[in-house]
Amino acid sequence: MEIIKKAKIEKGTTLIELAVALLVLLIALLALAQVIAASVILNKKSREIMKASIICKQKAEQLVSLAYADTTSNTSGTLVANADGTYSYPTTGGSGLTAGGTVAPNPYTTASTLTTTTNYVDYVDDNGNVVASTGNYFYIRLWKISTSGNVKTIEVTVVGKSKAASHQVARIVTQVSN
Amino acid sequence: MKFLFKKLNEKIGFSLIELSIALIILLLVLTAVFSLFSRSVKVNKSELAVSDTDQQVKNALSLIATEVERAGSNPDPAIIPTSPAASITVSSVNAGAMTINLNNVSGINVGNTIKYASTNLVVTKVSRNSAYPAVANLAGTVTVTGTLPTVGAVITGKNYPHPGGIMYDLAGNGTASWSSNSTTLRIFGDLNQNGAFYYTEYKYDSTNLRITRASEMITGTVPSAGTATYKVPYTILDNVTACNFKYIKDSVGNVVSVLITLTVRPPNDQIVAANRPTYTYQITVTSRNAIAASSIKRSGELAASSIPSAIPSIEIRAVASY
Repeated sequence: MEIIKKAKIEKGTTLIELAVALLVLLIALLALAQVIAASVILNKKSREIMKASIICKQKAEQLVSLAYADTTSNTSGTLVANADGTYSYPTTGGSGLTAGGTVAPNPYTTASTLTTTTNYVDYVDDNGNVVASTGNYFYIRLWKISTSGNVKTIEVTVVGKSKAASHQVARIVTQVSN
Repeated sequence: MKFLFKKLNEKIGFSLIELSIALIILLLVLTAVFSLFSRSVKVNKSELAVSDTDQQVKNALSLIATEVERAGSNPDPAIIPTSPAASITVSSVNAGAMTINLNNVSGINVGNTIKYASTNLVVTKVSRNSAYPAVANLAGTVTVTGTLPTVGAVITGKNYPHPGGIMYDLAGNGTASWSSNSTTLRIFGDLNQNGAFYYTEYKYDSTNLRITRASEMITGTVPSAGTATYKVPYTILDNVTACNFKYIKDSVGNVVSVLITLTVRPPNDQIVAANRPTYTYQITVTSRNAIAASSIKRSGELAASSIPSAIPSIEIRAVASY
């Protein structure tokens, strides 16, 4: 009897101990899985920011290519194909490089409100295409033109559609002169 | 003795059935956790591949963007790039100004030097006679200091077509060959900012799903595609499932921008086929020299006072919060 009891005390692990050990292992694994999940989310965020900065630059380049005195081009419009195979942005129906517009607040948080100005805003889907404000867009692109002497400052900002999901803001400032 | 054993069994032990059930439950839970874990690892691996692809796209786009922005820049002010003619005839000379055909002539700006015979003429003003360069043989006045050439004199230019350096048509004469150009981007100018003309060609290879770049220094005329002795094209981006270049004209009809649309996917060996997403990127790049060439035409003339003292700066900032 003495021998059996001793053996029990010294060599065995109770099921409770085993269960506790497994529980600890479980929690550790779950924590590790969470780290990986976080990394996946961060990667996705990083791609969204990259796309935001690309479409931000796209708008800045489009505005830079306008004539300094242009006040009519529809910069919110989509490309129109020319007969010779080239493309143009609509030259009427907008306000070109007229001073005006608003940009997104920075930082852009859930508490922020977005003031948009017609002709100084467009909506972009995940592939970079301009879509209607009622369409399935992913980014909102806002720009502001201000004039000082013979230099116009162009500021373009991009924010995600869902403030809760995408807080990123991309911003480009550039200048043109006559 | 038997009693003792029984007591022991009842008080601190478990039956084999209890043990088995407990183990099966634990096993089930562990299996679930492990499958979740292994899925996480798999997704993470895919995401890393996607993220790597993103980075490669970014690098490739930034290379193309840098070169397109520099396209059309003239490293030698004594060279007047013309298209397609290689010479410019002076049509009238009056009070320090000479009238020449400015159509298809780019790269003349205030402060430049035009070389005529052995004399250097410094440009002080450039005026174009029409706001619209689409008018054939557009004349213009170039005010210069120095010994003026006589009427009928020929200023030698070189055949570097297209103001802005974006060759949207093959021959440089406005006759488009669009079927090939939508997947090929040809630009020229002082692309490396080292004082020499370079010609660069980006091509989409739809068979191998990649974009290649070939570049060479040019001294005379821009080579026709396919006939020049290019440097061996090298791949700048792999796993491109679609690529398209759109040439965008400004309001006066000059091609000034290129819209690049790329669809990429992560490498096959890094990701399970069913999970292999494609991503589309669009970027517009504007040739700074094309804008310069156009604004002269649009505003009529470019006075020295209106040239900005500093090159416009571009600030790109991506801000994120999590």
